[in-house]
Amino acid sequence: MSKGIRQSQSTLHTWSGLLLGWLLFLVFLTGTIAFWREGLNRYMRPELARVERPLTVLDGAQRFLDRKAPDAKSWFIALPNDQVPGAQLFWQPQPKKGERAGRSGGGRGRRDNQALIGADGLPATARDTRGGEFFYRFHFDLYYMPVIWARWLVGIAAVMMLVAILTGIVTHKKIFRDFFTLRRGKGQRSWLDGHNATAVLALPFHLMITYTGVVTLMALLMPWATVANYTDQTKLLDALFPHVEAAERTGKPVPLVRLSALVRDAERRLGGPIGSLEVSQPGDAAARVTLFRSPTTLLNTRASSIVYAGTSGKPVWQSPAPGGAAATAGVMIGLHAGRFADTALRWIYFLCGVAGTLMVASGLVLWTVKRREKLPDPARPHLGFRVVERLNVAVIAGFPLGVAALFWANRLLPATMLARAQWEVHMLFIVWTAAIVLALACKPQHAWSSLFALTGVSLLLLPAFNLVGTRWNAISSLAVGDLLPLGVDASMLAFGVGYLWLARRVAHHVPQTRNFRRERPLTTEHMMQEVAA
Amino acid sequence: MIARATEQSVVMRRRIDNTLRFAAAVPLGYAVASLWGAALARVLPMARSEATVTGTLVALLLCAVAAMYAYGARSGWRATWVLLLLGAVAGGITWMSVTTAGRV
Amino acid sequence: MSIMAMLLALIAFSAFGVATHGHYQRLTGQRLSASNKAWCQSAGWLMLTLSATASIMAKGWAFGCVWWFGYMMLAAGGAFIALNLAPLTLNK
Repeated sequence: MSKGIRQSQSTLHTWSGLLLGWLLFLVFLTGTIAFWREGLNRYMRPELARVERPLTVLDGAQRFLDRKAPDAKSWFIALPNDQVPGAQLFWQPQPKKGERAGRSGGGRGRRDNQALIGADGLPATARDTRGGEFFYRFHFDLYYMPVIWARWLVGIAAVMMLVAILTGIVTHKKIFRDFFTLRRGKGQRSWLDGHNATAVLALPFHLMITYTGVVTLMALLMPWATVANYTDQTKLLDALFPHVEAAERTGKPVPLVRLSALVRDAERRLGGPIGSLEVSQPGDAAARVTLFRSPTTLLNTRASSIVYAGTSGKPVWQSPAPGGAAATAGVMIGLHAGRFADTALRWIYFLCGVAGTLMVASGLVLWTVKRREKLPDPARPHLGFRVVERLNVAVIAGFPLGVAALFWANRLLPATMLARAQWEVHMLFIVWTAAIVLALACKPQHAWSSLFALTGVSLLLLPAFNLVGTRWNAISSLAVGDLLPLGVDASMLAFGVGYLWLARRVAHHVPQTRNFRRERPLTTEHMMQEVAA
Repeated sequence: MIARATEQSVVMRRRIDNTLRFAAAVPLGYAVASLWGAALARVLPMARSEATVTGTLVALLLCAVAAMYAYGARSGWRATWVLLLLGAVAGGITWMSVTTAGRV
Repeated sequence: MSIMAMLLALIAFSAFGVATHGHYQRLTGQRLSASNKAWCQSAGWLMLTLSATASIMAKGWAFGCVWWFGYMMLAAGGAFIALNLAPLTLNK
């Protein structure tokens, strides 16, 4: 590859990484935390016991739905396991006259049509919180904006991230040699080595997570292949996800079979554990029960399913095997979400996500470090430099403080508070806004170290608070062999120490003075060539 | 004075080149990737839903590749007309296929 | 078998790391010759292939490949830390 092309790809790498880099940092950070979505769902509801017998919970769920929504159009039950707080239920009431029936009509998302059944089979009473779901939703829906705008923004940022990764690979002449290099205390060279290390170390993960992330939004970002083949998108969806249409209610009441009995049969036929059930027209002669395989043992996120007649419990339909392309797309989405990952693999996913977050952050900082050394007058940098520098502090140092605030709000906000779950999230943004104000008002070096220090302290104190202020904590759960609070608290301690270390490093940092005796320009290429010497 | 005029024209030419490259990378690149996705969806010898998914997956990758080509090409003009040509080919294939065989 | 796959990957990336001028010189006090580099890198690639085999034997094709990438990334990180950060604390 010629020098000119390498330089052009290097420039493209810088700009495609920089322009939406701050958004990418937010997406990477919240996405990485979201790998522990279910764990945090439990951690942030410390009142709930761990689920030991899933089928008991299912029986309780069926009893609850029989009482609460006996003539609903459909019920949805997520079968619990010991990783989740309980059985999540949704139900869709019969559409009223004139209301649009169909996939988007009513019910599923509305807060009054959902419930959580706890380990004892009874509706769970826990503090109102979004738990880990907030991080999962935020990383593609963002917040305070219509989800379509958010998904377009995140989608475009993800494609730019893909460009940044591909150009980053292509720009490297000797990617593996550079990977092992770490020059310390050498200003922008050190930052470049750090950026390279976090990028190349987890390169398979970064490539996978970015491309598959784009794939999860493919219906929005790239509908044209569908438009070329189908007049209506639902025809494609019917072809890809064959299902049995829900029957009309006959009005003849017939009791529904015991769902837990169907689970065992379905597990045998589908060859794996069941993840969720959907009941259409419960309590009626036309009732049907669909059982879906759990994503915890499948790479393909589009799980196979089997349909039983609700009155007799006889199987009536089983989903066909998907075609190659559909399976490929399903596996891609499955790899991105990582639902198949057990705890050990989930830790690897998490560590790779941390590396990715550090990669984005170090890239953003590298941009300012590189340009600071080229400034004609370091005391009065140009506008672009000042914008990037302040945004870096505001986002990279400010947002983690907001996340710490969310965890504190989860512990401290009164349980009876109105809209408590939303207020936990508001606390994140309120604290983040305060951090942004600090980032704009103070000198960057002071802002960096004080924000990192505040984040470190708040993360260190939370596990300590849990030991005295939360009944279900790291020590109390050891007795029953539940390692979740220990894992979360230990991680918070580790990150707290890390942030304090960073705060100290930044506070003691003395910026390099400009070297006037440089013979050749300090481009990325030259910095990497120096390693060979 | 002549030197000044030449310097200005160099800056101007670079600005035009950069603008062309950006236009080639983003709107034109997306359009070309989409058209190739549509063409593959029409032409690939597999079930219709399968070809649609394959075309979509490939097109997403082509978005990134088109941007890399737009900046790696020898000039902004070259990137523009190469992408226009590729887009026209894909567009032609798609249009002919849709007008003869129609959609579902 | 899974532990074997992880260890093989770790050995492989250590070999790759040692096969770079800076680290080789620091560890052996001699310049890295072209043939030594080739031997180290070939050993590394062989270890990676064996690691892949061990992983697939332990967990099947699909999950075996996923885990293999996981082992490689962990091994790369481990080798990086061992070569760059541990020596500094040892020399103090």
